[in-house]
Amino acid sequence: MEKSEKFYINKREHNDIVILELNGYLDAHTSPIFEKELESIIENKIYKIIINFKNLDYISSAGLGVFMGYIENVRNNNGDIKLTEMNSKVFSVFDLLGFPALFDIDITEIDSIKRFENKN
Amino acid sequence: MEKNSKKYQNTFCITGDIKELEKIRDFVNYWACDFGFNEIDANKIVLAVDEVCTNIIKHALKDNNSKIICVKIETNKPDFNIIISDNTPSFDLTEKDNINLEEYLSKFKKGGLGIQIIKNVMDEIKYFPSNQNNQHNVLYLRKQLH
Repeated sequence: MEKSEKFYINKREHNDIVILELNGYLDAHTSPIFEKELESIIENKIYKIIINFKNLDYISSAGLGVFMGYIENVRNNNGDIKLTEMNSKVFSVFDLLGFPALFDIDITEIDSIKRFENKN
Repeated sequence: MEKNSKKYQNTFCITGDIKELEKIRDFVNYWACDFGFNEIDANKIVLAVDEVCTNIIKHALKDNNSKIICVKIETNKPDFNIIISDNTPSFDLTEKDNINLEEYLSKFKKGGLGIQIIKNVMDEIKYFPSNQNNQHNVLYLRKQLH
């Protein structure tokens, strides 16, 4: 997995769900790394994705745009991208543009896993 | 950012390298927190400046590292003023129409969010394109401390 000093991703799996833990900051410089990772997951036809933000310190519109670029495809394949464990600074950026109406944003990762499992 | 060394430095310049955005963010965050904004509001101001500089680098400089963007902070309570200058071709973001977020999100569009962020965060935005007397474009942003 591509790694930057400023941003890297830890990838885990839980049954048929892929969990990406974002670390560092996600801006115009680092968002291509995230985009590449998400693209490779979707190319492998995995459509249940949880993004864990607990170690992400900052996000700009370049990071938000990555979610917008893939969510439609994922949902068309009966999946979703669920977001969890955001700190208040990062949440306020999502909130600024009304993203909570479009994405499930959960307090804990377990909550996001349960949402997927309850849907099955 | 080391507080002591930057205490009296109210202008910070970067080249047109996207890797430099982090330095601008640190600079603006230091001053916004010092002025009295809480962590969340300071982060929103940082974000707005990041979006402006990203726009300049991506659309005007096209990663041309020889050009310079300068960010200057001027405070006059309760106003926190940010003056961003560059010598790229002029682009007036204030002329861009506001996006209808509900419709925008429902269509899963991904571009144009940065300008909307700037408009949502700042209380005032003014743009002065370069002219015969001033070779720099100047974007003036104001945020009031409540």
